[in-house]
Formats: sequence, C-alpha cells, structure tokens
Amino acid sequence: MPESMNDLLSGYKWMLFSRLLEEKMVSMQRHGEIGTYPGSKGQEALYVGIGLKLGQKDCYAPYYRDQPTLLMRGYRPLDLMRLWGGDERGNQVGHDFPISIPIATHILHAAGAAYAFKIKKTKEIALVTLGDGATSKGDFYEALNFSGLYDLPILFVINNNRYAISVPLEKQSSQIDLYKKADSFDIESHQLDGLCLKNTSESLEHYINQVRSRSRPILLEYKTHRLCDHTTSDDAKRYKSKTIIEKEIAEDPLVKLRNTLREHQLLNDHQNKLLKEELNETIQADYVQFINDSTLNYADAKSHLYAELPMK
Amino acid sequence: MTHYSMAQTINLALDSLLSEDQRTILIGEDIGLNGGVFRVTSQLMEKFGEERVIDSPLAENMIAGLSIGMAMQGLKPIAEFQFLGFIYPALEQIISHVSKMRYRTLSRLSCPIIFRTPYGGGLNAPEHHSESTEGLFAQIPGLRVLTPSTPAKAYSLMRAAFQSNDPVIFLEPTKLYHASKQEITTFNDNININTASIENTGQHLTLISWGPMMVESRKIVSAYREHGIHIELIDLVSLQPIDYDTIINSVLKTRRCVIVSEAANTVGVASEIAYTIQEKLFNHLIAPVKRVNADHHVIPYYKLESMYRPNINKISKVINQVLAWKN
Repeated sequence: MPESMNDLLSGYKWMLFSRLLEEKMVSMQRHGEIGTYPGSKGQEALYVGIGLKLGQKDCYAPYYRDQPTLLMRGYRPLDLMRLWGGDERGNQVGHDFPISIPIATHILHAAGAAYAFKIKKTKEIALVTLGDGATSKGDFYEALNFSGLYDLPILFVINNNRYAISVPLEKQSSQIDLYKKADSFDIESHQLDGLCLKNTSESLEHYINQVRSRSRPILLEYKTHRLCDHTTSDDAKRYKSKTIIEKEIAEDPLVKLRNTLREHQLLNDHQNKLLKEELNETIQADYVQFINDSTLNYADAKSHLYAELPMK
Repeated sequence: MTHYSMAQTINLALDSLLSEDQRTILIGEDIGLNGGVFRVTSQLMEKFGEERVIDSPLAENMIAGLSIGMAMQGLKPIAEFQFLGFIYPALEQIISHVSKMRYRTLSRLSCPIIFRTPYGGGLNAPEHHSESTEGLFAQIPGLRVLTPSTPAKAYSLMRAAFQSNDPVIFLEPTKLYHASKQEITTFNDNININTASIENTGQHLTLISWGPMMVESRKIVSAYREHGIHIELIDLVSLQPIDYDTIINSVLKTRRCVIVSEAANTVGVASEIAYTIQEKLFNHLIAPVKRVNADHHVIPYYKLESMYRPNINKISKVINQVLAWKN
C-alpha cells in the first residue's frame, strides 16, 4: 500500500474518532453533563491533516474548534470532556498551547513562539489555526507583520468555513479571498481545498517543510464547511438556508473519504462497523471515568494561580 | 561614591539580567538605538544585539501577545510600554491570557513576563502621558503589580521581579526617572517582592504610599517630626498582592492611618487598604482611615494638573484631621 494511502486510512480513523466523539459531546451537552461545545464536524479533513503532518516537537496554537488535532496530539476524550465540562485539568496535556477562546489573540502567541525558535536556532516551527472571522482582528495583522519582518518559522492556517458564528464572509471581510491578505506583508499564501484529506495532508506536509527549511512564514487558507452549529448554543438554521445546508452536507469530507477507501478496497462496510464500535468503546470508557470523577478540588486548583502564593 | 538616577539603576538591572540569563529578551517601542524615550534601555541593544533587544513595531497589543508566546517557549521577556496611558490596547492579552495562563493549564505553562511602564504625572506632558491607573491591574488576580520609589529600590525590585515566575506589571514613576540622584555604594538583591517597606518608624500615625507620592510623603514625615509628631511611613512596593501583615501591625500600634496615592479616588488600591484596615482593626482605630487621592476625574491637561494631584498641603490637611480626631 502506498504511503499516502496509509496516511488516508490512518487519517480516516482519526476523522471518524473525532466525529463519534462530537456526537457524544453534543449528547452530553444536551443532557447537562458538559457545558457549551464547539463542534468540528465537516472540518475534520483539515484538522486531521494538521495532526498527521505537524512535528511532535513543533508548537501548535489552536483555537476552540480544533478537537480532531487535539486528539492526535495527546488529548484523550476524557481531557476534552473535562475541558468542555468545566475542569481545567483538560488543559494539562502535552506541550502545545491551550485552545484560545478570545478570537485571534493566540496568533501573536504563535508568532512569539516562532521568534523563540528562531533565536534558539532550533528547527521547530509554530502552527496556528484561526477562523475566517479572526482575520478581521488586529492581532492577525500584527502577527503577520512581525512574522514577515523577522522571517519567523510560522504557518498560519485559516479554517475558512465562511461563517463567524452567523456572519457570512461577504459581510465579514472586504477581501473574501482571505489568503490575499498576506500579500501586504510579503508573505507567501495559498487558497486550498479543506474538504479532502489527501489535499490537506499533502499540502500541509509540503508547506510545513517549506516553513521549516526556509524559516519564512506561510499562510494557507483552507475552504471548509461547518456541518454543525457554531456551538451547542447556536442554531445555524437561523442564518444558513436549507439549500446551503444540504449542499454542504453533500460534501461531507468523512463520507467522501470513506467512499474513496471503499473504492480502493481499503475499508469495507464490516471493517468500518468494527472500527466504529472500537472507537465508541474508547469514548464510552472515558465517559464513565468523567461522569464518576469526584477528584476535582478547589484548593488544589487555586494553588496554581501564582508560582509563589502571595500572602493572605 | 556614585550617584544614580532611577533611569540609570533600572538600566543597570536590565543590563545585569541580560548578562546573567540568555533567556532574557527586551521588547518595546524605541528601546533600541534610541534607548527608550526615557533612555532606560540606553546602550542595551548595542551591547546585547538586535535579537535580544527588539525595537518593536508600534503595536502594544502585539508586544504583549508576542511576549506570551516567547514566555511559553522558555524565554523571559521584559516588555516596555512607552506610557501607562498607551498600555490599554494590550489589556486583552494581559487580562485574558497573561494573568490566567498558569491557572488555565494548572502550571503546565506560564507567563513569567515583566511589563514595564512609566506612570504618574508631574511632567507637564501631553494627554495620556500622566496616568495613574494602577488600580486596573491590581484588580486582576494572577498578576503582580510592583512600583519602586527610589533608584536603589528600582534596581533590586526589577531583579526580584525577574526571579519571580509570575507575570509582573512594573510601574516606574515617570517623575522620578531623572529626579534627584541617589548615592549608592553597593547594589543588592535584598528586597522581597511580597513585602512593604517601613521607611520610618513612628507611633502617632501610619502613612501608606507608593511610587511617585513617596516623595511628598517623605517630606511630610520630616516636617511633622520637627513638631514632635512621629509618623510611621510605609512604602507599599507591591500593589498586588498587598502586604497586610506590615500594614496591620503598624496600624495596630499607631491606631490612625492615612493612605496617599495619585490614582483617582474611587475603587482603587487605597480604598481596598482602607476597607481591610477597618475590617480587621475596627475596635482599635481612633480615627477613620482616610485617603488622599486625586479627584474622581480624568487627569486634566497639565495646566490644571497641580489642582488635581495630591500635594503636601492636601495631605497635611487630612493628616491633621486624623490626628485631631478623638474617640
């Protein structure tokens, strides 16, 4: 089996894992077992592409929609249940930056990390993800400016799902080809298909290598569909027409990849069913642990506010 | 014997930190060739190179955001904001990330950054250049807020702030940068960032102040001493956290307290201290705890500034009221 097909099968498992976990998380939210949850449905090809190609020692600066990549970089379902279930222990995984909720603020953190790599003369890079709405904020432009100015090893990845909560791209940005925003900073940029894992993984591999070898920033805009609401508190039917929703569902990257794997006889329906059962068992085991956990302690948590606890 | 200004001692402290620790990075506007608008970073870029002393683009939010990323990758950034009145674009980064990162990740990551900035009035500067909004930062859990009041303290406090692994807002009194120089024979690290310092002991009244207002407070202590009134003078040093042990022990003895600051007079550090003293020492106090602050008003353009800021007359008037109080 060629390497790329191996990648696709491995990637499919992660995409399916994320999709099944999302079903569970939404169900848990509806039952009051976790709080608000922002889904990744429809965007898994992009996030799994990142998970497959970003080096383990690289610095990943995610935002709140990045659950598939988090799973691939060490987060267990239990961690994500904690993270969205009101328990900071969900952030105690690996060495990456925690998800950023304030829009675009973390893009500068990634640029700061890339600056650290540059002056320490290591080969690591920073990869930061952001949504289309984040390209409206000053942090985005400030990070592009500084990264271009200092030739930083950073890859900017825009998940352009065309909606910032409810506001469509045409009302969000005077330039709807978001990759062109990098031109002003003399930063190489490309617009790419984010619905096909083969495309995302191959392009990410190429551009990650480029950033690493040339120590220059690159910006990639991936066009995706958000097949879920913004979060569990949202109802996309208020701002997306039935026609758009149906069109987007018809392009579900998970279904497309499953069909490709089936055509190449890499995954039959029976194998798919077994895989699903196995992944659901993993999720269920973590769910049981999450639900029965009573070890969260306020005094322990508070001890982490300062390195050295101030006096009373 | 050599005499040093506060701008010089902070420069020496930064120089020593850049020399001693390769992780130290300075970032700020005009801090390179120009040496900063107050020359606090003079010659540091020449000595340590452009990679470690970054003349940054003109974007305060960017300075804070980059510092966070650097700190979380093991560097020790010391960032300069040109004036406290220009730090506000960075508040989102400071409040939403710097103060929360250690707690958010339960100590997996942290932001040991020093954010330096001049503050306070008295320089006849344009609007936005004379603010005393230190209370904004003192209100944020997870930050430390420090302010020196002499050249020697500035040196030690900067080095102590660097040793702390917590994020520090380091407020440098603009008026004192190039004011009278202090004779310093040896520089030392004998300052504890958790502790207020008692500059003068006395039994009749406790006077608490910090930063630029320590100048007026010291003069007042001397003046009253000549009249046989002994004021215990506390330089707060740390506005967050506040050293209540020192304050309470002092007021337990003097039973009278006045707090002096340049900030607007509501919902501030002085109010917080006054509240805590009355809460803990209600039965011991002879007089109500009084504040002498600026009015609850924006700082005026400089021709009216002297009307707005506390001065020796305003402070003395309040001290006399408190001393005259009989229970």
